Amino acid sequence: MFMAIDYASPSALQSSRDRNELDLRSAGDRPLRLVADVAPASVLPFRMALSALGELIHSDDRWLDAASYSQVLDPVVTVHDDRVFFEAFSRDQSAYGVVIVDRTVLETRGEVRPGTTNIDFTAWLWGALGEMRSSRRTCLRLDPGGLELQTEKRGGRFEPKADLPEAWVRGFLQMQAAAVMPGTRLTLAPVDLLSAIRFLRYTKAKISPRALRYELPPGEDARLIIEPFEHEVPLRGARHGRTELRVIRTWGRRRLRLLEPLLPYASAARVYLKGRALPSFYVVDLPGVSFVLGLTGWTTQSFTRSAGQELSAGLGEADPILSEQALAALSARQVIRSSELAAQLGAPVAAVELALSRLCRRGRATYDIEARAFRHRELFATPIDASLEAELFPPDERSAAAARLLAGGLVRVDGCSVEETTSLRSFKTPEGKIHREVVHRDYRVRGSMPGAQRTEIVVSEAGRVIFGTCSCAFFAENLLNRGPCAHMVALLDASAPERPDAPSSRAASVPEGGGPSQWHRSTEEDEE
Amino acid sequence: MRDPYIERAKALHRELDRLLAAGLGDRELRDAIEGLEDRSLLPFVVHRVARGLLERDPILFGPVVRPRLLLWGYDGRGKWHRPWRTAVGKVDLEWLLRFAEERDDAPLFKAAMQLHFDSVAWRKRDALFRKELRSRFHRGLRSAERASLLERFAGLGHLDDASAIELYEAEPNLCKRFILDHVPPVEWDAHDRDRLPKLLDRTRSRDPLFHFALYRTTVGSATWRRDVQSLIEQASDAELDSELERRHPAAPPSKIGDVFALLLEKRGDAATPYVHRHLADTVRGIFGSGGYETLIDLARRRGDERLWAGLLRYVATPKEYNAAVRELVRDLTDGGSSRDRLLLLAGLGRELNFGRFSVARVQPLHDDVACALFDRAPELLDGVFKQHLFAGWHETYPHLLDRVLAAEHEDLLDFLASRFVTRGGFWVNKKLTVAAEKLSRYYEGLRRDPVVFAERSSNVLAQVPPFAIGSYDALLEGNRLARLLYEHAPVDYLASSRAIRDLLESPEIHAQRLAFRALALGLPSARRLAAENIDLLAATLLRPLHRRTRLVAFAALLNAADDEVTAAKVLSVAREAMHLPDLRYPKEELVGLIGRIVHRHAALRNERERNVVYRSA
Repeated sequence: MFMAIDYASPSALQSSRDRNELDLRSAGDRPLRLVADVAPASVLPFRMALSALGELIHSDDRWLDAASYSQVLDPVVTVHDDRVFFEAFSRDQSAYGVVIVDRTVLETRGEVRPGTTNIDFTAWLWGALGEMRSSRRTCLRLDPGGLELQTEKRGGRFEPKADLPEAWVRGFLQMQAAAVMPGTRLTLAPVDLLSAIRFLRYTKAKISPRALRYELPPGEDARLIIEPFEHEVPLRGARHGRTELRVIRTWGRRRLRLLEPLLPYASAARVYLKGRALPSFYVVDLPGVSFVLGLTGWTTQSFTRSAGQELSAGLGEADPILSEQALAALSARQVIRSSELAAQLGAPVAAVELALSRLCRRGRATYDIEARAFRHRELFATPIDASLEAELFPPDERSAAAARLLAGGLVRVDGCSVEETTSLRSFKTPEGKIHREVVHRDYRVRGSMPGAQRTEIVVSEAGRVIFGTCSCAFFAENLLNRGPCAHMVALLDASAPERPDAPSSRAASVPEGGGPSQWHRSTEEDEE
Repeated sequence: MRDPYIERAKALHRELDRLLAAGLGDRELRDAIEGLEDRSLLPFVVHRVARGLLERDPILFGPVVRPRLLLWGYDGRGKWHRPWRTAVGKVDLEWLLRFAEERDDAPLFKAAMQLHFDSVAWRKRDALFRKELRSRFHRGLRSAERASLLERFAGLGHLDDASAIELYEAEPNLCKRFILDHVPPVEWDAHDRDRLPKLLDRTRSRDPLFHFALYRTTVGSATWRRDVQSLIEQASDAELDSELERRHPAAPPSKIGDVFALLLEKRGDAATPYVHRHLADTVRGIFGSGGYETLIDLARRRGDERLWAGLLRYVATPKEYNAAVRELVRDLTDGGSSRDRLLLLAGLGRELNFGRFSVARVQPLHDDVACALFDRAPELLDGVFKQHLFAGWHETYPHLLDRVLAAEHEDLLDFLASRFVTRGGFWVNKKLTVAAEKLSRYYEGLRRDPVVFAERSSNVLAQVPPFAIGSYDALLEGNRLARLLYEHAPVDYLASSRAIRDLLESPEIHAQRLAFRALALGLPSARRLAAENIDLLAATLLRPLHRRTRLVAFAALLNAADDEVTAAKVLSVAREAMHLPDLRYPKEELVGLIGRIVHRHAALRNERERNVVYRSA
């Protein structure tokens, strides 16, 4: 257990013919307060976005196991001068959602105390949200409640005294590392994204490859390819400015269904792609409200486990004085860009970004992917110290050693050969059955570097090391039981340019005399 | 009767023999096997060729063989038998195990070991699992090899004290997780007994962290009670909570309430946080109250109202809960404490989350208690206790309904109507349909004033939860109130723009469909309201809807497209909807909608929609 939260009374939605009162109970030890009327035009978008967040909180794409019976982790809410935002993780911790409510649609009453806290968000409340109507005066109330309110309103809670596991905390902090990474931003017509989601809804690919392939051809709008059908969704108006073809593949596309209820009402949608098999972020704009969905590279990868380790490995040592100054500036302004802060503090941008990233890792700041700015957000009532930070982010010696090898230019890629396995498959699509030759590619990469005269890895299309050998002592002792050695990690990174994303299937015709039995039916369940 | 699969199995055996004799290359053979017409029976015959295929090419044929190794199968003569128990099968199985171990192929090893365990009786399988594991886990292995071995044996059986100690002593850090994952199961008649007691003893002082992890997983209720007793006697107030917490069993024992009561009695405030934290573990058994009575007596005596209320909401039966509410309602006076205590009893009870489903328990109020509460404090029944009114098979609230109707308490009437309006069909308590009939007469009376009727009816339908209606047709057949609100009066809802908006925003699809039907009527008010609500109507073009509902929505959209500005909005979304790949989307009707709109507003036609008149050259 990392920390525990307790609510004096449960959250509730009280609705009558004239009023909706959404009382969200925050943790008892956080001094946050906001009471506001929601503008009528934004009531429905607010309800839909919160319902989508509820769907995300309860969603779980794993097979049912003991962990599936665990408790749902409540969202975190932050009140700032310009926005109120609710953040949460899915139960399998592979999806992250944020509901951002613009403060211009909230008419506040009484004192507003900015801050961050967990809120009680039960399944019952999630269901009750459907009773909110824009024709009624809608009041949002965020405060800890307390004993007085407990007896005034309703009985207290026992189960929500939630123990927040370390994994959850680590996930929240890793999320920042993913958001800060440079990437590609595409502005989409909501209906194009909806079209891709609908295609997936009606067309199930039960075998690999099951990636979404974003293609960014120079001088043209981006397009989205759904594998293995090679179904193309043109992304009209998705400008990107690339001068050469760029292809980015992401997996775990079924999780995009979380956006489906919002897209028919959306005015705009954007996607932030960080790279192959890396996290991606989708933003859907509704009147006065935005919904951000962050997805890990693939479904079984969670923000709270391995996903983040690699992402945060590059962090160097931040200047503690600069960190303090950055925190003070953030506390005063709530939101600030790293370049502005660098100018204000007279420090190099890189050093300031390092200090801000370190604050993110300590739960004291968050990165706003839309504004490309850092925001002040105290995730914990008592900020974590350096020792706890070290416990949450244990140093990964292998990643660090790999980074040193790469930085020193010591990694030599001796060869990268592609091994293709093809199979003929038939798929059902809305247009009828199609036949395609599916290509599974593995890349066999050989290389050498100091400490390992011969390293060889086999990399899947998703960029994962699926097999490898190395002449180093670590491999001799552990084989792959503790994951790849530092040399394999370095070779993986060094060979990335030699492993291009190619189409995963080709058109195929039915062989003469070949009936259905000549085709592999798409019934095998593969790993993504 | 002859097994219809026998002939198919025999044919499949023959086909496999033919393929193997055909001299095909490995890849062709694999494709031919995967492409067999009758592949569904392959798992029942693959035992004959498994070894041969794996010997040819384990990488190519591994995926063909591995997932298809079953205990039972057909032999070449179509006889149903256990192939791995035959003389040939035993030899093949031995080879499979050796082969999987040599290649460190954990999935194949697991599959083969399951077949091997089948050779002994069910109760002896754990013993065989331990014997096989210990025979391999000798001290000569390196750490990495041991890790591979444990991975191969993961999930195949359970450890006993001796084997767990052997693993722990050989390599503690590597084996801790494995031991915790393979503790012996609780036997149905031995809940009191500890599992792995010797290992528990051995780790107590050497490795406290692992000891308590093991303790929480394996401790029997007798030992736990004894330990709690000694903590009660010896632990200081400062350490009591943490000591209790690290001994709290992962699976709460029966009658845990008695232990909680003992703790509170002996240690009072020092034990209160722990008891509150684990109150939800107090569960009623089939034959006993799980210590509920003792605990609630104590809560009353100590004046611990939080505990008392929690027990009533989480653990009490509906009868006990209602008795408590009844007593408090009887004592309700202005400014008295009964009101505060009553408020503590309102709200959710136990919440269960599993997979993508979440269930919350709410104690239902009985009719007489609801009546008493309505008489003494109607604002409570209409407020925090509203969610405790659950009309169903067991409770139909006939007296409460009479009282609320007599008092014309509009909010409560609308709420009750929203519960009764969804009850219909063959399996529903007929008293519910009688109540719905009473309410239908009341709402029929409201039709004298169309605005009042529209707003009250929409308020009823707004409170119907999504997916509350199973069979709509059966509901209409058996529920007069549903017929009135859903079917008879769509035109009446046009009297109030607010009612229409509320219905359109409802998450319940039948309420939305009612609004579409009203907005599709050929009346000026319908056209005006449709245009006012174009933001919601246009979205229906992109939402997944049943065909019947979508066609009504199309009609409403056509009404909305009366003026050119609104028509342009509808057209832009309709043209986008043409690109949706939805199955069964009525695209012809969508084209019809677009055609009618551009016919009405010629200026909105795009290049391809303009008329082309061909003349002879």
